[in-house]
Amino acid sequence: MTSNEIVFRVIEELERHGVPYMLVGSYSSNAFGIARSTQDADFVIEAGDRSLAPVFQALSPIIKFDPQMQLESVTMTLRFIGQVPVTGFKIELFLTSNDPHDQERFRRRKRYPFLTGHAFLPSPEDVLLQKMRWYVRAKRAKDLDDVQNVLAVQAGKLDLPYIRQWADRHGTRELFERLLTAVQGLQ
Amino acid sequence: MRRGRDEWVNLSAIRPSDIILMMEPTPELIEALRREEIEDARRLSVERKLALGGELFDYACTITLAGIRMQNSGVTEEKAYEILRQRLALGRRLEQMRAEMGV
Repeated sequence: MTSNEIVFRVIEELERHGVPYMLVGSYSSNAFGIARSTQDADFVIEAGDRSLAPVFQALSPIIKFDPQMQLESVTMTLRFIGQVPVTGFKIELFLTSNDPHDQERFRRRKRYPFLTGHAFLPSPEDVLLQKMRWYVRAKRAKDLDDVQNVLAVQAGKLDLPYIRQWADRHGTRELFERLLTAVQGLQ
Repeated sequence: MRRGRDEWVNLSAIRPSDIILMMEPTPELIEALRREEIEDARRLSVERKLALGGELFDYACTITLAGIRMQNSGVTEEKAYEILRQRLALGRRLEQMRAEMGV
């Protein structure tokens, strides 16, 4: 089974159990930027009061989920981590938080074709905003690369006032303007 | 080999260090390659790029496994995959280390 087929199975099970989701992280930045290899698929899910045990049970032949929820220290959100035993490919399910942007990006998610079905993704603007937050907090070079790539590929199509409004609230406005200027030099 | 309009170069006189100097990428070349990369990405659909990350990972695993088998002749499939998982875990730790070092 390929990594994409495993991601697709996760989507199928979330939908079958009525759990709203969106595919975030490198899958979403690949979709709107320049694709790179990724060894994990991150989802944001709106579980509400539902137990995820049936989802984990249905996926257990291919993914081993730790039933214990973990606190993700960069965004202070709760997540479940699953791993494909053969390759170590990781599936992370982040629960939606009370963070206003987290709520807004979930509301704005859109459906795109994926393999033989579809996947919900955040908007390119929300991918940028979230990746900038990750970069500022975790200092991972790949997050900065992803931001620059999405900015360059989506140039001229982005809702800049929306990005600026949230970047001001996140304290990432200066970083955004710097990256935007650098990318505009390439156009 | 013709270098300029009327200047000819004796190929046998080129030293390896000259070749390294000749291959040094110019800022113009770097920028041109970057533009090309961006244009290529714009031509691909969201659907195609959404699938690419996983495909590239699977391909990288195939190549890495081939390398592991070459380095460890007679290795079992189970052991080869165990080494693969160790390498992927090492990659994650290195990424974390780079982030902590700010590089």
